[in-house]
Amino acid sequence: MMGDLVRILTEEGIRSFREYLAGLREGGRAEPSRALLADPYGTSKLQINVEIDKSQFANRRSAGKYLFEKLQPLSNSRIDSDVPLWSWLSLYYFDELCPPGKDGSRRVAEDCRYILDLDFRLYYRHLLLGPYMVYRLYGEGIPMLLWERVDQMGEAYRELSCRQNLLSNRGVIEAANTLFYDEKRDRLKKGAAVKTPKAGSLRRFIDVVQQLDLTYDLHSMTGEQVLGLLPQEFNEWRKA
Amino acid sequence: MIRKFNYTGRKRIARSRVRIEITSRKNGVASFEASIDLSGLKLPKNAEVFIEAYRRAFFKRFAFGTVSEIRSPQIRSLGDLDPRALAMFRIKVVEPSGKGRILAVADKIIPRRAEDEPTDKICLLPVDFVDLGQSIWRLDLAGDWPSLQLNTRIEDIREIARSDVHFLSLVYPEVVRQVFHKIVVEEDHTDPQTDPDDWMSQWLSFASLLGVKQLPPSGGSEPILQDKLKWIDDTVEAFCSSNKMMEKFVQAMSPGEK
Repeated sequence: MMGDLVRILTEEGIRSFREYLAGLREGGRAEPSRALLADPYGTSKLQINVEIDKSQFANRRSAGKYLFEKLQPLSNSRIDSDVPLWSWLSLYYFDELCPPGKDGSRRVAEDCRYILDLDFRLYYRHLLLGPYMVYRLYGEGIPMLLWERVDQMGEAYRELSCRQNLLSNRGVIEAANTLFYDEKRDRLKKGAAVKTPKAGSLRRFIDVVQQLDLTYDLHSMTGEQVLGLLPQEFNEWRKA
Repeated sequence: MIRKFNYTGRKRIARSRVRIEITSRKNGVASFEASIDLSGLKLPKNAEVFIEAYRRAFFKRFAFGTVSEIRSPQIRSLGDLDPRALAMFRIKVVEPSGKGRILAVADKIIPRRAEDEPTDKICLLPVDFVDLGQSIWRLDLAGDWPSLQLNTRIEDIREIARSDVHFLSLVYPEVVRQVFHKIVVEEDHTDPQTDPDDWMSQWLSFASLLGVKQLPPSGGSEPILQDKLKWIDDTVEAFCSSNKMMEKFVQAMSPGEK
């Protein structure tokens, strides 16, 4: 089956996409504009030909893996900040990222989940860039960050990626995965992602690790070594 | 007043002891040179020295030998980092026993760029180049250090921001205002001695170099807030005055007149 060539949204294209999102929020039920995906004013060609197809992503893991493999010909150094590219990809996969309900309505999240926003506080929320970045960092090694549906940001991902020194810290991420990921059920362990920093919870883990980071060279440590530094309140999770 | 505790005796490496320079951007990949002076800090000679470069999800770590023998690794490339983007650096000295305890650290080090003028002064406002859509500039106060973001879509924006009188006189006073509003009003950080290496303290010290004699008042009541805003106005005026902003602006507007 022939795929589609990846394009990038122009400023005009991004504006149209933004207007479409606003329309959905006001109760609109229009389908995403297929015409815009190849519109000569709303899009332009990518410098390299990259072909993709309308894969249905089972979860964030399959989205991250698929995009990582497909986008390999592109320069890694600029891809993370390529607003036109990630915005086009979101429009292309919009039915996956914002699926319609039975009545055709869609629950649209904030714009930055679809249109990449380079603001320090928002960029990681993009629903395709996020899984791509995690897959590029860890492959399938940290399922805790990738098990959810692609239209969801993921509880653990959100908590860990908004602190920039944590997401790239392999030992810390491995330790969190060991504690809070339920391998059998392919999801977070029940009670791990409570909203308040309860003893032993993921939020409490983040607080403790940020404190330990001042004293220990956590970047040099394995997941097991990080686990060895944690206080007793986390022991229950290791048994679970 | 912000207080920080340091129960483990971790030493601070002053910024003046570290110099990082982004030296090349060959094939779209940046690399760096570093010089570190750890003399007189009474650190174990065999403690290991590391330099870490970081930005958002990007992280790269380089082994720089030991305290007694600091050695640059051959490869100091920043790999996947966009060469236009601003990375911060961290220097860590780690105890040699393998327990991973940090003995000394310097964080949020802003690298110099090879094209910057050589100086020993600490950079208060690093510049970052990003796609800002239709905006020309933006002040990023959410990161580890305030940075001036410039729109990569504008040709020669680096040069414009460095030497164009219109840009300098219209943008930088507003930058100074926003930075001090963040420090003094939002954070109530009013004492440059709290943590002399911290960016807020460095900016407050900069204000005194401009000739602003008094420190801003501390507190959150309405009269104090009014005094803080007045202090910020005075500081912006001192900044403009020390750079003769108005005169230069008028001159640039009418280049033919003398």
